[in-house]
Amino acid sequence: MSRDSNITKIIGEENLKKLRATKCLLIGAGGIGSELLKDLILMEFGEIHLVDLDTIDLSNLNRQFLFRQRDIKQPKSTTAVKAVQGFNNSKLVPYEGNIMDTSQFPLHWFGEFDIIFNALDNLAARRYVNKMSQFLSIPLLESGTSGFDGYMQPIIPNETECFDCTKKETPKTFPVCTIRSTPSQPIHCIVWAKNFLFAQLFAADVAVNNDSENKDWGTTDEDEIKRIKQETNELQELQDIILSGDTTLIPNIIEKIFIHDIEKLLRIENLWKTRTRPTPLNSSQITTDLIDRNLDLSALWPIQDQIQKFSSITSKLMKRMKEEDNHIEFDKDDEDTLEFVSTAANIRSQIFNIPLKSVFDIKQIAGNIIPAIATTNAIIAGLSSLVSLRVLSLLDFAKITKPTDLNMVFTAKASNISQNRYLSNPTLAKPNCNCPVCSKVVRGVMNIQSDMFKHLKLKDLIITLSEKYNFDTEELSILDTTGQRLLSDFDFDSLDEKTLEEIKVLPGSVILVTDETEDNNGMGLKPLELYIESRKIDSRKTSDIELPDIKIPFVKMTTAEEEHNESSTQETPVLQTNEVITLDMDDNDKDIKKRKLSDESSEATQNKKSKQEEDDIEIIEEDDIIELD
Amino acid sequence: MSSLCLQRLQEERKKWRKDHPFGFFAKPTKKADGTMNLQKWEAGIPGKEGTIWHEGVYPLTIEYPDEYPSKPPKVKLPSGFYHPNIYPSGTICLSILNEEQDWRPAITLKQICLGIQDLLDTPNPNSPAQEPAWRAFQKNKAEYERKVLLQAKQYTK
Repeated sequence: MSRDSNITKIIGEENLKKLRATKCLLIGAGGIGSELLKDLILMEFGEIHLVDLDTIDLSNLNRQFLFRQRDIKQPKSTTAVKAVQGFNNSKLVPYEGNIMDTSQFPLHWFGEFDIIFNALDNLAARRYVNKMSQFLSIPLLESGTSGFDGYMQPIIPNETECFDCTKKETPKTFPVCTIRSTPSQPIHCIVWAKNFLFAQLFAADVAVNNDSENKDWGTTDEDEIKRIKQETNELQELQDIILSGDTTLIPNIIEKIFIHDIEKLLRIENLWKTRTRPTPLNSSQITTDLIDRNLDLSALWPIQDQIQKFSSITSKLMKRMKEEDNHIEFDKDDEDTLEFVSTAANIRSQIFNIPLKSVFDIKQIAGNIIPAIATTNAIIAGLSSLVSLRVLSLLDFAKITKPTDLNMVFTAKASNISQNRYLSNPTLAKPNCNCPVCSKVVRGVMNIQSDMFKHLKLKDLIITLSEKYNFDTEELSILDTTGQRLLSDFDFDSLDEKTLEEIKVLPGSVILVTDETEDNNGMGLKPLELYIESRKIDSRKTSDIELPDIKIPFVKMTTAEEEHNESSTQETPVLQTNEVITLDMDDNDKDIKKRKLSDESSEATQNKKSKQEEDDIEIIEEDDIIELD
Repeated sequence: MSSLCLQRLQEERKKWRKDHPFGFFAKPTKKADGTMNLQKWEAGIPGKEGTIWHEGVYPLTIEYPDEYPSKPPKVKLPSGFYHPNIYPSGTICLSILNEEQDWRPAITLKQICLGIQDLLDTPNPNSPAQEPAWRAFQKNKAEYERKVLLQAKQYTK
C-alpha cells in the first residue's frame, strides 16, 4: 500500500509498528472531529474510538465532509465510521453518547487509551475530559476553532499546563441597569429586545401573577405594594394585548414602550446628568399600516420603515400565538422573531442615539453566530495529529527530551500578537502553580465494592479516609464536585448517618476531601480529589473501600492574596463563542464618588459614598444580569 | 461550575468561620436533598449602632454564578426593601458587585457584607433604584426616617 510507504518514510518501520499498536480516543465527530478521524486513519493508528452525542444537521454539511444529505438526523459517530470504510485500515469503534456520562464512560474506560484527542464544542466537556486525563495521566490533545481562528494544545498531565491553568473567557453579561435604562451600544438594545421585550411578550408564562393577593411582597407598605403591582400589571397589559389577537391595539404597544417608558426614564433627572437624553418617538410616527413588505435584510432601513415593519411583524406574531399555544421562542432562523427583535432594537437605538444595524448583522449578534470554516478545522486537526506523533515519541527527527519541548499552536490573529504571521507555536509551559485542577489538589481513585453503597454511611467513609491519610475527622469537609454539593463539614453533619446510596454518592461521583486544619504558619494537608469507582476488589483484601496509596503533601493553604489575584491565571487565546461582543465602559460620571475597597480590608468600607449603576425606578427587573447565550 | 468556583466557595466558608464581623451571620442554604448548596447563601446584616437602622438584622440572599470569582455574586435583600439604592426586586446595585465596575475576584464575603451594612445608612442619592425611598430621602427626611424605623422593627434582632 502506498500509504504505508509514506508513513513508513516519515516515522520508520519500527515506529509504525508502535503506532499500529496505539489505541486512541477521539471525542467529537463534528468539524474538527471529521478532519481528525480522516487524519488518524491515514496515519494508520491501530485503534480509534470515536464518541459523539449528536446527530447530523443540514448546517453541518458544508464542512463535516464525511456526511451527506441522506445522513441528516443520523448519529454522527456511527455515520462517520461508515463513511470512512473505503479507506480505513484501523480498528474503529463508534459510541453514541455524552462523554460526561459516567455510566457509559467510567474512568477505567478512559484508562484503556494511550492518547486522547478533543474535538469538542463546549467548555464543560473540555474541562471534564481534561480532568479525566489528569486523573489517569493520559496525554490529551486539546483543540478548538472559531471562524478563521484556532488553537491546538498538547497537555501532558503533571508536566505541562492543563486546560484549566489559564482563565477562560466566559459569556459577557450586562448589568440590568444598562439594558433597561441606559443603553449605549447596539448590543444593549438587541439584548433588551430579545431577552426582555420578546421574552416577556411571546415566551413568558401566562398569568404568573394572578395569585398576587397571597404573595409575599417583603413589605407592608401599601404604596410600595401598589407600585410593584402596577409595574407588573403594565407588562401584563402588553402581554394581554398580544394574547387578545386584536391588531388594532399594536399602536398602544409602540406608544407604551417607545414613548411612555422613555418619558418615565427622562423624568429621573439623575440618569441624564452625564448622558445624552433619549428622544421618545413622536406619536405621529406610529403607523396603523400592517402590511408585511419584503425589505432588503442586509440594508439599513430608515426609522419609519423600522416602525412599520415592527407593527406588521407584531401583527403576524400575534396571529401565530393563537396557533402556537401562546408561546413562541426566539430563534434566529425564524424570520418573524428575528425581524421583531431587529426592529425593536433599532427603534430603541434610534431613541438613545445609538447607530442602527441591519437585520443581517443583528442575526449574527442575537443568534450568537460564529462562522465555522472548514479550512481552519483542517489546519488545526492536521496540527493536532502531527503533534500527537511527537507526544508519542514516534517522530525521530523531532524528538523531545522533555514534555515542555512540545509546542502548542494558535493563530496569531486570535492572540493579537502579530498581524504578519498566521500561526504562533510557543513551547509548552509548566503547570500553573495556582491551577485549581492540576496543582491545588492531589488525585486518586477510590474503589468501593458495588454492593456496599447501600450499607456504607458517610461517617464510615469519613473515618476510613481519616485513618488512611491522618485527617482530623472534626475538620474534614466532603464536597461532591460532580453534583456541586457540600456533604459534610465542621458545622454540618446531618448527613453523616446516611448511606452513600441515600446521598447519591455513587460510582462515577467525584468527591473533594479537605482537612481544614492549619498550623500556625498556615500550612495544611493538600485537598484530595477522589473518583469513585465500583470494581471487583481483590478477594484477599479485607476492606470494602480501596483507597489510593498517596502521600498527601503538606502545603501552604491558599490565601486570598495569592489565589484570587486575577493575574495568577493569565489569559490565553482560547476561543470561546462570545468573543465577538465588545463592551463599553460607559461610566465616566465624574460627579459620583466611587466606593472602592482597598486590597486588604473592610476598613475601606468606611468610604461613604457608593456608586451604584443608575437604573430606572419604573422598571421591574427579575434578573440582575441578562446573559447572551 | 468550574473547580475554581467550588474551591473558592469552600474557602469563603472557611474564612467566614475564622473571621466574621460581630452580629453578622452567613451560611450556605440547604438543597432539597439535604446537602448544602455552596452557590446560594443566606446572611444577616445588622444595622449599624447609632443609626436609624440599628434595630434590624436584614436578611440577604447571595447567589454565586458558575463563573465566580470571575463574575460577582448576585446579592439581594427582600423584595420591596425600603432604601434609595435597592431595586423593587431587592437587588442591590453596588459598584463592588458589578462586573463592569469595581468587582474583583479577591473581594470576600466579609467585604460584601460590610459594604452593604455601610450602604444602609449612607445611601447615594445619585443612584436612585426605587422611587419612594429615593424621593423621601431627597425631599422628606422625617417621612424617610419614619419608614426606615418601621422597617427596622419588621426585621428586629
